[in-house]
Amino acid sequence: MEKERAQSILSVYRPDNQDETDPFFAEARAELARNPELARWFEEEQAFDRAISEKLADLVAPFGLKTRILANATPIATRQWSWTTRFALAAAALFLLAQILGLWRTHSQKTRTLAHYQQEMVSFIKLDPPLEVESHDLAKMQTWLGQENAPSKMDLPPRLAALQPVGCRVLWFRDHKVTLLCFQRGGDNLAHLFVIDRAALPKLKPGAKPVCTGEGEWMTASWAKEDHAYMLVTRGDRDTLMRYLNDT
Amino acid sequence: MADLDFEKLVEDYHMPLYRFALSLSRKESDAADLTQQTFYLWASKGHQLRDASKVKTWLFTSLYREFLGRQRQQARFTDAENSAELISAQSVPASVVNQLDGKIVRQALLGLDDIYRAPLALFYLDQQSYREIAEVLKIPIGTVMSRISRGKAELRRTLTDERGQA
Repeated sequence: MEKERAQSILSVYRPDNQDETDPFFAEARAELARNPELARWFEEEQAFDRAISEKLADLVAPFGLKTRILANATPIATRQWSWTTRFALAAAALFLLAQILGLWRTHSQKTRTLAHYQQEMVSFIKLDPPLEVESHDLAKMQTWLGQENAPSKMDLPPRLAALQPVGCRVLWFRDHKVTLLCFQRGGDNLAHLFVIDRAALPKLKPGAKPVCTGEGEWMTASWAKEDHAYMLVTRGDRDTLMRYLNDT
Repeated sequence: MADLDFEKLVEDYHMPLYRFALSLSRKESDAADLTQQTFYLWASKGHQLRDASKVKTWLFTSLYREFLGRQRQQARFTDAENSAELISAQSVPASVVNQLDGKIVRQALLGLDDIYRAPLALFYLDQQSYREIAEVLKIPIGTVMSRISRGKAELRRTLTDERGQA
């Protein structure tokens, strides 16, 4: 077998010998024993493939995507039934659907608490999420957020607004788009502001003092104002966080 | 196929499908929509599938078709493939890749031309075999091999450039 042909075949050989038993590769792999140059190339190719796979392994789906999928799609089950059975099943299905919808709503409301929201959003920033827009221009980011139908017209606490913005992205929480705005607060430290429609967190009442909660090394403060619920997240203690919110 | 637990299916495949969708669309919100749409299609049409072993391929193929349907730029695919030069298999050590930030590698993959990005994403992100990739993308095995081979060469070139600029 020619070297180029063997290289072409071996280029689709997956790392960690996943294709070891596939006869498609047998001849090309046998060539490795006869051709040291090809063997060296293959070793490097496999190392390269492993390295790329590992570097891409941190790509994760947004939190809430699974919930969103389950909430928006109900599978159709099929079988051949007589019309009487179909009728009876349809009636039963309607009844069940009403029950399930009721249960789902209850479940959805139970998992729509501030604690779930905090947990999911903090989990997200722990992964050092990529920003969809990197900019120091807040107005530019707000325009983009508006185009994405995400919360864009927010009322920022003055001390937070005084920080330099570095970027933003859009997330999901229980069918609601969430705006994440990141601000530079000295060194490598960032302040992460999550903004969501207040309907997503109905228990957070406007006018009440921010609710502070620790989440590992992260501290969160949540409050509601007009149509939005805000959550500011920073590394550090409560005082560090409240420094930006004293006017809220 | 009604026996398949939908929630389990979503649990098992929403992440790999999202990663594939992101590699195709390059945009997270579009990737989320594509993933959701794929499961919506499964919910409405998946019962027509008779072979349970084909579920994964069905999902990836449906997502890919959905992407193509939205993109409607297949002409660009053909032009790009026809004009692609034969790229020599230049060697970029894995150690070079290891030194790079994951974000740079991701951007390099997302920056590849569509015809290379889709098979490489399936190869690297979901560890799919050449046969599965051929089935998902509906292309011959020989084409899978040439696209992966050339795609890797493009990826190496991009990463070498990135390293040079760093």
